[in-house]
Amino acid sequence: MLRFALLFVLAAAPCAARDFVADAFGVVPKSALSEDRAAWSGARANAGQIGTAPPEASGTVLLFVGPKALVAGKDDGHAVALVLDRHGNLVADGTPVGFLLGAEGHTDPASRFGVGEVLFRPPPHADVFVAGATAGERQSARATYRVVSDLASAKPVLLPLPRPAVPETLVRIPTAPLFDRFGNAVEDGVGLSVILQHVDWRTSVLSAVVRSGMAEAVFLPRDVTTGGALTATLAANASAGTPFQFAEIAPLGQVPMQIWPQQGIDAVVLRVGPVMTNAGHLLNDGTPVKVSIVDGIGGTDDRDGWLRDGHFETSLALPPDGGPFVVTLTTALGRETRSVSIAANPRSQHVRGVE
Amino acid sequence: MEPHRREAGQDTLSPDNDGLRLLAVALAGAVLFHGGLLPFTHGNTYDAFIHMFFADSYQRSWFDPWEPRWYTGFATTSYPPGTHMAIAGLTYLMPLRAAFVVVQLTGILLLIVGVYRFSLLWVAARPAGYAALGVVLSSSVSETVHLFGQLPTIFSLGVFLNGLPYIYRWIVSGRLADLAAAVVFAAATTAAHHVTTIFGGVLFVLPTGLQALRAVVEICAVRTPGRIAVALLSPLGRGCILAVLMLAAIIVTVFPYWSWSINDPITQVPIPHGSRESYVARPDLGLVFFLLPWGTAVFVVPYVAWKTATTRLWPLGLSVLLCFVLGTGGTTPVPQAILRGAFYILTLDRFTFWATILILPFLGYLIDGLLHGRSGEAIRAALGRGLRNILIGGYFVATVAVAVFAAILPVMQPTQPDFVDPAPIVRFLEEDEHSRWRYLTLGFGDQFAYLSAQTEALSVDGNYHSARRLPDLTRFSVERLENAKYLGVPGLGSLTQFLVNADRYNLKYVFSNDAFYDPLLHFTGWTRLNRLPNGVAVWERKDVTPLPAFPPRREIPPLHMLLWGTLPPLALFLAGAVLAASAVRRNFRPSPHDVRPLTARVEGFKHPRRVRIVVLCAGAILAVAIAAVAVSIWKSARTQYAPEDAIAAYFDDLDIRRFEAAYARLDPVTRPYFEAAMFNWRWRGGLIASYGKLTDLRATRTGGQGAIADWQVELDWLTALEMRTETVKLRTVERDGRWYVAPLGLRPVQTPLRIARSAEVAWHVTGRRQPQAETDLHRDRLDRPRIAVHGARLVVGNGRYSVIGAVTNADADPAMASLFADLIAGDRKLTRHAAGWATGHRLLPAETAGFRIDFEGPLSLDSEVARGSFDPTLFIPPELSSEPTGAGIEARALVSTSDLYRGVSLNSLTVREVDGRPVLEALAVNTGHEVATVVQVVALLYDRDGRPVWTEAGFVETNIYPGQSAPFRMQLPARSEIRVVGEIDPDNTVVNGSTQQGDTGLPGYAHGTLVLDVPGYSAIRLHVSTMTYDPLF
Repeated sequence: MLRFALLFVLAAAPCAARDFVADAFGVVPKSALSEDRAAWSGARANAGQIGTAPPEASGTVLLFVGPKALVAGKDDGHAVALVLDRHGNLVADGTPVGFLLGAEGHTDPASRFGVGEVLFRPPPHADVFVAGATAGERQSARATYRVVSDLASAKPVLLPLPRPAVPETLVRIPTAPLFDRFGNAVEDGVGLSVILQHVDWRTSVLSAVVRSGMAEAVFLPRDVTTGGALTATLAANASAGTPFQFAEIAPLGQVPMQIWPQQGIDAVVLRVGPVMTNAGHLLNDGTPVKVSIVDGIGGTDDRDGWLRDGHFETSLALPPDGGPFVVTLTTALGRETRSVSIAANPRSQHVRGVE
Repeated sequence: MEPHRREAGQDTLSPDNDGLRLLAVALAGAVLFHGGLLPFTHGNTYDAFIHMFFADSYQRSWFDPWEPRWYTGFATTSYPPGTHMAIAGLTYLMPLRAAFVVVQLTGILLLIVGVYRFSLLWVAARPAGYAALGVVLSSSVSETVHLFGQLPTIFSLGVFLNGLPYIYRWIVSGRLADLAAAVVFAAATTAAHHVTTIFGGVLFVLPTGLQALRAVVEICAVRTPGRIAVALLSPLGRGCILAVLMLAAIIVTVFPYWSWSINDPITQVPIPHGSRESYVARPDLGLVFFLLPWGTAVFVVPYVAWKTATTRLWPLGLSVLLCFVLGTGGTTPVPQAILRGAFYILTLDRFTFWATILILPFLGYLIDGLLHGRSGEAIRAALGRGLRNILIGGYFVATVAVAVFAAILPVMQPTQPDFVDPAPIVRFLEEDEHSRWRYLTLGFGDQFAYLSAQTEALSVDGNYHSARRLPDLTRFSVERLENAKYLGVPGLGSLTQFLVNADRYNLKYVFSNDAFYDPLLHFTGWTRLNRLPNGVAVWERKDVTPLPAFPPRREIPPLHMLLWGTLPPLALFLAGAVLAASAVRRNFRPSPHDVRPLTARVEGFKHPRRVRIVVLCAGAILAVAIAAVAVSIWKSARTQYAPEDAIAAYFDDLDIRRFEAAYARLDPVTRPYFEAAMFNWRWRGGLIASYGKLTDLRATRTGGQGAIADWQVELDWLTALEMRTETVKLRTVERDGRWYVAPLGLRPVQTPLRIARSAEVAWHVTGRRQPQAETDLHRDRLDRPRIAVHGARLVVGNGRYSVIGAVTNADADPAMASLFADLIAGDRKLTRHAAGWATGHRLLPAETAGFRIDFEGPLSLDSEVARGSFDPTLFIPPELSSEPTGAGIEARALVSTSDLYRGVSLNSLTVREVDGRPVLEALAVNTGHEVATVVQVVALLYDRDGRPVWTEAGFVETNIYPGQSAPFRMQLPARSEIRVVGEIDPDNTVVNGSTQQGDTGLPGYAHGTLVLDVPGYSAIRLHVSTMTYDPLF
């Protein structure tokens, strides 16, 4: 019991009446208030008298400008300067703070709680601007902010294509230079959607990205047989339709076909080609091909694949003695049906394109 | 050789020199064999690193069992700490891995001594010595140590067996010192692994007690029933006292564990374990969990049955046979009938392990008889000395071979990824305050635990599933997220939940050692930062809230901390002291007066002719069995496959990257040369070929005749994103009675340009603008891009609540958008989820994409869905306290400068109705300059009123090189499958912490969309994005 009584007395001892000082950082016994703390907390202890001393002149100016990207002609900026004396105390209310925002000067004549601020509307041209703030004889470090183009007012216009698109050739689809209502070029990297509505009701969907003020979509006409109309859309602004013409290619004569027995098994091999065109070259590699074959005893087989160097070769699950064979060939150039008889293996024919 | 004949009782009275010599050989052999292998094998085991992690936990904080590094925190009181504390103690002297090796080797040595001492209770000294040698050559011990890395199992059994002689002595002679020693060993065993004490009480102590009682009876001078009953009273009483004290020791030693078990019971979905499968249906599991651990000891099981029926070893024999049956797992219904509910919790291979230890006294006795006794003589008489020596030598060689095979199996057939140096990851986590967020590893195997032991950073995953309490983890039968791909759709579903809802778990970094997960990470909004020097890719999720300065923890009573930190190591220390004292006093075995071991029979066989017949028959049966196996293998090698088998084998070979084998299955007449075939396979990468895993295949014959058959093959691929079914048309050809696959060609389109030039817009977010240490200065930050969410609605599609709508980057900078939705009922928020991969996360300025936020929730464990009939392809609906009446959306964005490739276009796109659903088909063409590894198309569908009604995402199956193309197909839901619950009030939409504002106008259904002519829809908006990392081959 005595132990607890002693503990109680020891614990109660610090509760003796003493003078305390409350400053911005908490409560501290007056006797423990150091000169340093008194200085940076705004309290002053002079010959035992505790009081507050007014802040000193501006020592540090911290500048904040935001948002860091402002839409031209639409967004207001907010520049805020926090002004502190050499101890880190907020300067006295009423301290004037000057701002230089781009080329324009602004002043907050009477800061409060160490803060001077201005709302400003930057000039409507896209650029990066430098800002600074001045309080008394002190300046802030520089801050920067951007003004960006007003995308909502930028309307895309597709430029007409100089010539019809050729299959398997990259087609560049540019827009006219993109400007907002203030004449600012649209920033690089802005995305546009470009849609090519073909006349056969198919659609091709492309992306375009703005570079150096204009956007460009790239189209590779593959598995495309018709032209149509192009439209570009930037956010909610769409361009007018621009015609897209597609170079037509026509077949040049009949396509040769050969059938011969397959080695080792009861089947035949069909080779079609070369598939020549009026464009002066074989029909493009990778063009889809479909063949349907009916033999003389009613057997059928269908095969599909792609042209390589103008040819297509496949094996057919039909007996070699079932000829003649009626072959229907379908390519991008059209359909062709022919009767083909079995022949010897043209093994000497080696197909390889050169360029 | 003349059989070694002894008088009855001679062996028990003679010195133990033979046995001790054999014991010494066994100990030396263990040090050489296991000690030599352990430094090289422990890193490939399943459990070694987990035990090291626990050890590291105690090394960091011995008395605080709260471990925050796994599972958002768990208590290490969930596992007995003895071995872990032993490692932790040693880490003050040596590195963590070396400490593990030392403790594991100590456990093996304890096990050898324990088996010797235990065997002495049943057989004479020399057979006990052979039993000790049997431990060294035991394939089950090899497997447990070198494949499974089960330190506590080995260590605790070693301790436990060393305590059994004291139990025997206490029952027979009643010395209090023996009682105290028995209790100490029980406590020490529990400290290492409580399961050993609990099951050991039945499987080891009960037979030992019966043996002791039998000895009491035999010691009794007057053997009338009355006298015997009186004589048994005291031993029975002593047995009861011992049982009570042992139980108390089990409870007290790891009391915090029992408290944890009762207060925080395991309620997770049972995790499948191979030992519960039918070994007939899964021979691979039978090999690992039954045949390999049994090894050559399985041939001794009939001998055990015979000796059980005919000798005093019957209590031990019954234990062996019981363990044998339980170890068969799901092969027969017997284990399930015996164990009932525990069947789904226990790993049944443990019974096989115990059986292979319990059988050792029989084995020692058998070997002793073959080498020195009448059975060896009988075989010599039947088969001749040479054949006898061959049989015994052959058995020895086979035993050694199986043990070595089990030990080096993980080296031959690695079960773990190649070693990943954790140092670069640890450095990364320590830099720039990266440990303020949680991390996750993928493709590390059990090395994840080793990484965890090297860092103080926290992971959302863990490697000790019993401690998991997060519903998101326990609702699936997924052991851990780390190896999600091996657990199919449930595993990936669970992983996806964590990756999508990363903010909820403060999960910001993923260290991926397996590119399989790349598409999932990319399309759920993760960004690949860089590749560390150890080859591990670091992925980052932007805009994730950091961990609180003081993460929540469970308060553990100080008394529990004190008990946990002191009693287990004290018990182990005392047991070690008792064992050391026994060794010093050469008091390893009970007094010869007290034990009644099975001794070798002195007289010869009564019917030598019958013995000869039995031996010859056994030899004949063995020869026939070997011949049958050989014939079966030969027949299987010559089996002619059907064309379906050829197709299945071909795709299986491709899936496993056995390219030579796949090439051999191509038609030898029409196939290209190997390099050309190889080129074709390598050319085609992407979501399926590079990141997919073939799970099923269906071949339907569509035509052909004779030696030609045409097929439509449907291949089910498990990708990180979804199950995909690829349809391939191919032909098989029969040549010389064997079916081959006709080679499949690639579409031979030409890239239009030899060299392509393209101007590119690139961004760079500087991060630190000045060379200084501060990580987060105001002047270095960028504004959050203004994004706008519009047309958002709460809908129900396929029975699932989803929030859908459009998100537009209405800013001049590219944005990485994070979207969250709350289901609301009145004023209450029911649940919150984030947008997954059916969303355009990365948006260029002015781009618009659809988004969909799906709601899933933890599954009630009482649900039938969780009770075994779980269909992994079903999503789990959220458990909602009431019907949602609306939803709220929070969206926020950061500037994103990567993964913004827009070089893929869709040519000749059509949308037509197939089987009542719209199907979108197009040719995806890469017109840019980067390899499009995986292309995603997000489709936002507008209803007839021009309002968004659904968002769907699809993926191109193959990679696309610049100038190349690939077909794309995506099925969309019919409008009738979607029910609109309501519009989302703009007041419930918060963007970047405020009301939304945009620099651009917001596109409606008529801007940048395609007009649709399918029932219920008016337009579709497509957003094409691309993952451009190098494809895998």
